Amino acid sequence: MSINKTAQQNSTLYLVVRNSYGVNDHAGIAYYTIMNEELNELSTVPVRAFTDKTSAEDCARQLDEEVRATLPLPLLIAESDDENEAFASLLLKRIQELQLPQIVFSKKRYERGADFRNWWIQHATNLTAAQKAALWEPFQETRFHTVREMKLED
Amino acid sequence: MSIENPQLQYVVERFNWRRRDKKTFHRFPGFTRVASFDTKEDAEQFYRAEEAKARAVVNPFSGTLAPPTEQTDLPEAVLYDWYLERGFEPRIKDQKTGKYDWATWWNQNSQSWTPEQMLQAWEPLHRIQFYRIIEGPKRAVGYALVQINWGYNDEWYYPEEEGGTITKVFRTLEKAEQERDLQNRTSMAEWQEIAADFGYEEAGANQFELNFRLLPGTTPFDPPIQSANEEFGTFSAAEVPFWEIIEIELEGLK
Repeated sequence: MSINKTAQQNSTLYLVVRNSYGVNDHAGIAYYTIMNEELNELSTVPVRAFTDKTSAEDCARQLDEEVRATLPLPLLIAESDDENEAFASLLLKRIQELQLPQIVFSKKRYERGADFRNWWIQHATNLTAAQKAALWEPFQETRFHTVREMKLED
Repeated sequence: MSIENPQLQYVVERFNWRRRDKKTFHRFPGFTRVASFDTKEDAEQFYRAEEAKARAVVNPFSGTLAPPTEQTDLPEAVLYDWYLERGFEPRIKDQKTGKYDWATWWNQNSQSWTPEQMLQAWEPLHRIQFYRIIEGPKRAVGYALVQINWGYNDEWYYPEEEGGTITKVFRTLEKAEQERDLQNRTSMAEWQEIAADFGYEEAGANQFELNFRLLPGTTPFDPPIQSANEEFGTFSAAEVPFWEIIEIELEGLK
C-alpha cells in the first residue's frame, strides 16, 4: 500500500452534521432539538464531510442560511424554559425594532410559545420576505448545522 | 440527445419531511441525499416520480403554521378564486371566525379528485417542495454509522425521531455494513436479554414503537410500517434497527 493511499484512508474528516428535531403539537406546532441524555449531547444527522475544516464550516453556515430562509421562527419556541425565555425575549425585541404588529400575550408564561405562533399565524401573510429575513438577524448564533472532527475509517 | 459532462453528477435530495399522522407531514430543517445520476434527464425522471408520490399522500395545508402563506405567493382570496375558477369548491370559511380552513377542505375533497384535478390543485402551491436536484462535480461518498437512541415512556421504547449518535465514517459501504450488522446483532441480543430478565408480560416481546421513525430505505411518503401485533401496534427487537448507515459526500477525497 502506498504512503499516499494510507494517508488518504486515515485522513481527518470535518463532518457537517445537522441537529435532529422532534415536533410537539400539543399547543400548536413547535420543533425541539433532541438531546441524548446519556451522552449529554444533541442527536445529529450526518450531512456532508470535508477534508478541510474551513470548507466544512462554510458549508454549515450556508446550510443554516437555507434553513432560515424557509423555517418560521416561532416554530422554535417550544416551552418556557430559560433558553426559550431568552429566545422569546430576543424575538419580541426584534419585532418591536422592526415596528411589526404587537404580540398579544396571554397571562400564562408557559403559553408564550403559542402566543408567538398565533402572532405568526395572524401576520405572516402580510410580512414581506425582507421582514421575515430581518426577524432572523439576532439569531445568527442559533445553529442548525455544526462541524465535528472525525477519522475516516478504511 | 444532449451530451453530458462526465465530470458532473445530478444528486436528488429530499427535504426533511416527516409523517405525523395519516395526512399530516412536517418539514424540518435539512435534507437527505437520496440518489445520484450521471445525466440530468435521469435525475429529472426520478425527481418527478418521487415528487408525485409525495403529492399523492401529503395534505399541503396541514402541518404548517400559517397556510396558505407557506404554500403559495398568492394572497388568500386570490388563491380561493383561483380554485373556484377551475371547478374546485373551496367552501371552507368558518362561519364564526371568517377564516379559511384549507387543510380540512383538502382532507375532505382530495380523495375524490381525478389525477388531473390533483395535478391542478397542486399548481399554485409552488412553495411546497419535497425534492430538489443539485448539479455539481462528481464526488466520493462515505458511509456514516449512526446509533439510533431509544427512550422509554414507562410502557414502550421509542426511537428518536431522526438521527442519533454518529460513531464512525467509513470509506466503503462493505465495511460500514459489516460494522452495522455486528452492532445490530449485539444490540438485539442485549435487548432480548433485558426483556428476559425483566420477564415482561405478553407485550414484552414487542416492546418497541416506531412512531414514524423512517426505516432505512423508506421514504416518509411510503405507507407507515404496520406491526403484526394488532393489539399494541408495537415491534420486537428483531424488527427494529439500532444502527443505520447514512451515505454522505466526501469533499476533497477522490
